[in-house]
Amino acid sequence: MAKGEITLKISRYIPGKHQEAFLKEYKVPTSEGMMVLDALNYVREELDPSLAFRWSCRMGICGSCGMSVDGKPSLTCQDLINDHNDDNALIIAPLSNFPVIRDLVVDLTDFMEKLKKVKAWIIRDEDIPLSDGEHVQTPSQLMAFRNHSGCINCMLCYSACPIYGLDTKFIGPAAIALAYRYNLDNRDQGEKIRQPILSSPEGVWDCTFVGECTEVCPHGVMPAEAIQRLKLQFAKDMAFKTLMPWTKR
Amino acid sequence: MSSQPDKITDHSSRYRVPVTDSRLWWLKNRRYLSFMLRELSVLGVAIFLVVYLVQFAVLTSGQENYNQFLNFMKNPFWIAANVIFLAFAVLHSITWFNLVPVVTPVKIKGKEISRFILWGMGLIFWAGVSVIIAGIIMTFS
Amino acid sequence: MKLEPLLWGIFSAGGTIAAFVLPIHIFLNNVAPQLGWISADVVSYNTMANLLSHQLVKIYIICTFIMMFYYAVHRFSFVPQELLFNISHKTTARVGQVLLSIFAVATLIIVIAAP
Repeated sequence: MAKGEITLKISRYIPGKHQEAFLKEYKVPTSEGMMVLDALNYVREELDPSLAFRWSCRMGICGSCGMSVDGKPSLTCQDLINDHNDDNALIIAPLSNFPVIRDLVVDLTDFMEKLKKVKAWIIRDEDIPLSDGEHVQTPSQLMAFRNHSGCINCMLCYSACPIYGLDTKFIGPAAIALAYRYNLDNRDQGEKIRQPILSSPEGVWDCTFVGECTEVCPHGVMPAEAIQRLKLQFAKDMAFKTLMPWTKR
Repeated sequence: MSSQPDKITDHSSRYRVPVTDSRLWWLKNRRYLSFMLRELSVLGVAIFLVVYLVQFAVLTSGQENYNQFLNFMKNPFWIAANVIFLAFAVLHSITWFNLVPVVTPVKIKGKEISRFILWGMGLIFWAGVSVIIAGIIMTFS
Repeated sequence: MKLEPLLWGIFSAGGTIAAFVLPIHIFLNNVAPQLGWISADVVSYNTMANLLSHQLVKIYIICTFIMMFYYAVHRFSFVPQELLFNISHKTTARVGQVLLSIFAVATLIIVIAAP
């Protein structure tokens, strides 16, 4: 039960001012339904205006407020204070595996580059003329990729992935899941274009199916599933190409 | 990208907190731990297969040698090791059938079969195959 | 590596085989008779010699053993890196290939020659 107050230990780092990151303690009054993000905003508004962190929608859809809470990647606007033990200090750190710009703000350039690399958008050989009207997509065609389209780019999956931690060349869970989402979209014709990028050593083959990405994803995107399905698809494609080179796949 | 990194916005050289900060990073949570155990369990598979192969080789060399090998198989440390190998092999089997829907959607008439049912079917097949193999081996003895 | 999709496919097949047949073989050969749960006849010279004299049994052993060993070697080739050792996957894969080749040749020779 809430005692009425919780201690936060927040990672502080201001480049130029500090040599390395350190934990600073803040005491925050709590209330029913309070989120970790609310506590952070209290710190910034009432205790220490120099604290820097990203946030926006407060409702788990923008993907800005991802941070490491007690060692676990978490969307702080969805993380209830009451879910944590009041007696211990809550440790808040920047998302793992990303370069830290300042305090709790990380640099996401690497992911942005990867989104471009896998071409996470509709690719068409030719756009249909406006006079033809809209692309038609039945409900079942939508369901084929719908859960993978729920990605809010919060980067919790990259933070959870030990493979990305070992090697940032790995394209990573969200980018691959999004590429898969577009492959599955019936409006898209870019599967062959994405294949060499996805079937590269930095693509799906770097993944050893730890599965933590699916576990931490706040929107059920299931990136681990997308990656394993791509592995099987590429294996089947190679088998067909080798054994029956005349088939068009 | 530009050849000169922009001094203000190039953060790639800044420190980061890696998940894999120490050799024992996989002790951080239950899923990392079961992942690493899964990876390490294949050592048991390899050792079991190699020793089984040795058993066949000794078989060829004659009944006396083979009976000595049977004594080795009764060594309590070796039995204990095999109980561990067996436990991991069973765990491997039970969790393997969870992977079927992960690598491919399984549909009948357009509807996806429930993951639990797929898992159950896998277990039933596993039991069936085990019974058949046991039956064949027991018939010979 | 270009062959990675195929290697993963074979790896998955090996893992599937292991899921179906590995437990029963460990149980019947290395655990149950030694703990007295079933008669030790199952691993006796006569039983084994009889079993291994059949062509089908030989083929079964050769196929399943090599596939399962490949599964083990492929999975383990990623472990040194995951444990932060400074060994590239290229190196561990090479070592794995050598071990697999030795194992495969040994399996063929031993099983064909038995009993």
